Amino acid sequence: MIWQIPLDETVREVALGLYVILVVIETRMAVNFLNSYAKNRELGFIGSIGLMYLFVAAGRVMLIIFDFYLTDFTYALYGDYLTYYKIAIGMYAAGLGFLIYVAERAIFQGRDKYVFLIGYAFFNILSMVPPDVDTITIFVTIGDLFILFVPISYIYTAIKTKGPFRTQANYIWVGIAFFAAGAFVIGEGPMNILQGILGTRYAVHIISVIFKMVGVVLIYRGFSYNIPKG
Amino acid sequence: MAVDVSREMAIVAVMLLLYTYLWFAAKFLYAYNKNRENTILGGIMLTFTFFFIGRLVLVVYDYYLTVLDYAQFETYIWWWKIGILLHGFGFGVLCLVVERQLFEGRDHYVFFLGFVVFNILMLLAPDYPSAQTFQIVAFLFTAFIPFGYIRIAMTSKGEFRKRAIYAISGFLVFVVVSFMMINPVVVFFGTVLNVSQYLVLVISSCGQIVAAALIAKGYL
Repeated sequence: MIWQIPLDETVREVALGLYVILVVIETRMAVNFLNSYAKNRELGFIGSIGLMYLFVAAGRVMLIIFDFYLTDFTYALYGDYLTYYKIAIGMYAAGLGFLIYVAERAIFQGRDKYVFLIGYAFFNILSMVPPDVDTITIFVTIGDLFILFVPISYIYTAIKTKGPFRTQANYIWVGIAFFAAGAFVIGEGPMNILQGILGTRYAVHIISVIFKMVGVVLIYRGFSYNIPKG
Repeated sequence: MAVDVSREMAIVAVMLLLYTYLWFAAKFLYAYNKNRENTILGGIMLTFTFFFIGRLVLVVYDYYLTVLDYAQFETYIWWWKIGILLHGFGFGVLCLVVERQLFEGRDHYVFFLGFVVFNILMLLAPDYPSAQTFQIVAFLFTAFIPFGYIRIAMTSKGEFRKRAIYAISGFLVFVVVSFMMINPVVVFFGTVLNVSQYLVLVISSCGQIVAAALIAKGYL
């Protein structure tokens, strides 16, 4: 009966399917934003958000292949496909770089000389150099610290403004929080704890991808306030 | 764990199909909430919702209970019947909506009633082959839907014609890909054309996604 279904295999397949759905959602959003930008070239940051979704989706496709087929989440195999892994996380990082650019431009209008974007880019470029996954992870994590500026700046905007600006800012920072939570749970520490509770690594990935789905939809909702209607 | 990529492709395709159904159900719910007088929108929303639930049950049946092994089909026949019935609810609502739209009740909902009767017979059937036969006959009662829309496409112009053509195309694609899922056809693909069952399922799921999108475009 239904309880005889092999759980490990099922959970793996559901996780894989959800990741592909996440890619579809991100691509769809990228198309929406890029279409709006094509219709109104003055909305440069809408184009940037479109590119963010596009690069994140492309990076995600590469990571799906890396995680599910090349290594099957086996840490010992990561080193065999290091160049592939670097390209995948590079694509992903390029996407998030667009998010930093948009937030930094909206908040400082270039007065801060894009220090957060440069810091983020610097550490992500640096992460392309080391020959082992551990060092790469350290550089990527330091780079990720620069992204913290984005939700903080939107929380600040939400506190300081009212009406649609506040709603928009709330959507964005809550979306980023969900996305970050999704990324956090598959980090080595939380993964070990949750794997102990749930029994399988793939179940943790299902939780992660659901968080990320909620995150990308909320971020989309926040930025879509700037898309002219009609 | 040995990974069967073709199986995983089929599962990914069917999950995308589920996502598509859910997405359109939400879109029609949103449209219906904005215009409560247009009951067709509510009907199509129910159609996609039942398609989603029915397909979900059938995914468990196809991929996890029977693993597409024909010898196992009989063992879990009630699971299959429930899945087909839920999926059939979706078609039933669609049948009712279109019949009301085309005939305004003048035909006493004969197609819908025929569809219901054969679905009940499908439930009562003792074995898989006869249940599948009743299901196919029930499905034939929905054949009036594309014909009705062909009439609309021929007698109208502009937006109505365009929408009718979308709906017809959607139904036709749906019929073709559903036909691919019938066991003798799957066997034919496997033995004569040397195409794996999973590849047939990938094509079928992708076709159903296209069909759902065309049907939705015809009504939204």
